[in-house]
Amino acid sequence: MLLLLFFVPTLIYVEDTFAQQADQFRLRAYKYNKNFDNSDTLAEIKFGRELAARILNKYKLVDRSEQERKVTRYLAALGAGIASMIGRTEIKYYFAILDSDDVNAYACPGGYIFITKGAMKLIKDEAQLAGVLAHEIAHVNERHIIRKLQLRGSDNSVVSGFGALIAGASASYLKTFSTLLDKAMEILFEEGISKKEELQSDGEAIKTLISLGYNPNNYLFLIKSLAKVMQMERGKVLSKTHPSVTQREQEIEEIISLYNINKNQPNQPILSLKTGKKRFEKHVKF
Amino acid sequence: MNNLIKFLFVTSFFVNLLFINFFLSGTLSAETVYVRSLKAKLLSEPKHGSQEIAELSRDTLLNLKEKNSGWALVEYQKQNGWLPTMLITSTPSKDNDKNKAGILSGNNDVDLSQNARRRASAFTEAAAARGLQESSSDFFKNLNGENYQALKNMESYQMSEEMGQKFLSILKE
Repeated sequence: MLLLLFFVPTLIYVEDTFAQQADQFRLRAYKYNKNFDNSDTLAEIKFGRELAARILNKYKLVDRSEQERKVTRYLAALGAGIASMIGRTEIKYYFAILDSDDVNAYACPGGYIFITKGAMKLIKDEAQLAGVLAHEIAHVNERHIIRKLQLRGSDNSVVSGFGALIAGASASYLKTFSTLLDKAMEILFEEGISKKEELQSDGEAIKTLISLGYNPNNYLFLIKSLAKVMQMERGKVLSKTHPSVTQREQEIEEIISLYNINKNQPNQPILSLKTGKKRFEKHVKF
Repeated sequence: MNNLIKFLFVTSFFVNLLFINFFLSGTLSAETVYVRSLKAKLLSEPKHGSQEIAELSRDTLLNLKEKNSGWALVEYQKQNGWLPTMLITSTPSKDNDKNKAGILSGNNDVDLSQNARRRASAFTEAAAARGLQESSSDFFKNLNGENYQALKNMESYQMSEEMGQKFLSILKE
């Protein structure tokens, strides 16, 4: 009888616990989605789109000849595939090549991603290009530019403040919007985001490559090849805005080691991991 | 008699605690996840090149048992196997597809919270529908240094998720 007396409340307790946990889960899911407020996301896209338009005023788009358009289509297809795997579901991702000899890639809020012609020429295979795109998508996913702009709402949420700030159309709003665009350009081309966030994006790139079946060592090889470039004029912006090659190498090697992938020469397939060298060479010709 | 009651009380308390722990741990550890990629190989070990147990397609339902250094141990048709964590997701992609189909079939009530990817294009599409040229709209007239034509060219290259995934999946080496 006593046992029964304890079992009944216990069963009720267990059921309550499940109900509470289910409620808590729903609450967490709701709060999680709530952070991605519609107006904030729209504001982010609006801002990123303007920033992209400003970049495209600084550099020409590489799509003037049929060959250039072919390369861009290849980039867009690869980018769409990677974004479908790791990108935020609430935004579209766009990819383009900038006519610049600089070796760099840029991620604007809202999913606008650029890679320079100089970088495309340095890249040797699809695994490397996929790594660069995954790195840039990670910047978008984590809203690194928005965070760097240090806009915070009353709930300390970076994004919620952003939506409110650029929601209007008055002269003061426009001025703020324009000032923020100037600041974002400065972050992309002068200041950089932060070493920590660049290393974090490298980490995401490696995880993505492995998950998609690309050889991550090829991305590591690309990063190593930046050491020379960063001492040259075409690597000037990159050296100002990114951590040292040594730091990046360490971070990347550490993550690769977690996946039980033996170190190997780049461009050599490891087990079932691919390089995409042939497909890259077939499409990317300047 | 008092001692007996105390004994029964304490014993039943601990028995119940054990019961709760067992029941909770068993139930809560089974988290449902879905395959995110078009295809994914279920491997016998958390290592590329290990034995392939099965080839899974997008949205296959799996029970997540453990996550370890970028790998997930999952149960599929009563078999355990490993997948990179990036290839699984907590929500099925077919939910998004359903919403997209709804919009295409003429449902103009775009629920941004349910189909946010549509929301991304909604901004540009709405602007285009109103015949707005960015450079001449009220919002943008005070800004300068933007190249909207090049931006539109860039946006025209955008490809669907499905096309992108197919492009990834056909790579063999």
